[in-house]
Amino acid sequence: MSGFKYASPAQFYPLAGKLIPVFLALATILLVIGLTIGLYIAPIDVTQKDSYRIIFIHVPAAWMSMFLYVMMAVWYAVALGANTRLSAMMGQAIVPTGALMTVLALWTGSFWGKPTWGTYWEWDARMTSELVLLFLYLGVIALRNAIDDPRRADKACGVLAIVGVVNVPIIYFSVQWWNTLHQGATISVGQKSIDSMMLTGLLVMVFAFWFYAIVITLMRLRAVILEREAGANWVSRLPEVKEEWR
Amino acid sequence: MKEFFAMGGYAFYIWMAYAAAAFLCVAEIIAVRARMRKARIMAAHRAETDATDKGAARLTEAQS
Repeated sequence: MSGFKYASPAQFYPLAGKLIPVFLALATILLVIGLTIGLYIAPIDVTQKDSYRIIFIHVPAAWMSMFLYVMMAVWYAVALGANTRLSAMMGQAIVPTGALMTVLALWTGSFWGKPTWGTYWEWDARMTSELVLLFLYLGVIALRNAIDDPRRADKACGVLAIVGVVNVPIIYFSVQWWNTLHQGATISVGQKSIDSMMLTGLLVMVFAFWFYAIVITLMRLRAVILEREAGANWVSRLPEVKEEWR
Repeated sequence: MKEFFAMGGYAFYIWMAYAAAAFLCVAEIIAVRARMRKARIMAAHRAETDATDKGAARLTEAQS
């Protein structure tokens, strides 16, 4: 497969550089459309009035927090299994954005919970398991910072990331498994529990978050590649690195 | 316009949520750009020292 030629950091670094502006443009366009629909065009909710508009960042952030965790674990698993450098770097590049999305999901959920349930926080299954997700991300970051040798850090972070995957289905199914304060799924296949304009806005925002996560992860991946490949001939020859010579 | 920002009385909750999202994303972009700049400088530094090390090694080789 020709795609394998991009599996080396030296090949992927310039490719990522070319992809970033494309995904950035997509993210920006989707964000503008999504925010316009979410904050302006979509009608107010019958029961929750305008407060429901937090959904347009809460749901995308919460989905991304779980999805990025799985992606991180998959890349780390590939790195552990196949001992490939780029996949470990991908895992490493995803972690901070995953943590950020988790913070955002918790924060926005809290400001949605106050007007709808009368409390910023409740130790219910959905919220507690999402908080555990944040601790898992922070644990991976702490492990990375604690271990000087990047290859050993990859292994430790990989093991923690993979073990922590069990938490993701717990978050996802928590609203079904336990009787929680948190409402059930907003979108489910074959069921229409949401106005079509609300749904459109939500899906647009989900894609906007998607592309944002891709952009920021690729940007961080390029930095990680430079950090870890410094001293390699191809890095020393990069024009942007030569520019920094004094 | 005023009505839009009032968000039917939920302004505080909505804008606290959206402001946090905007702040976190902007902060993340700034942080990643700074990290990239630092990585470039470190890589250049490494390339420089490697080059001078190689030059020095060649020099001692030639002298011996």
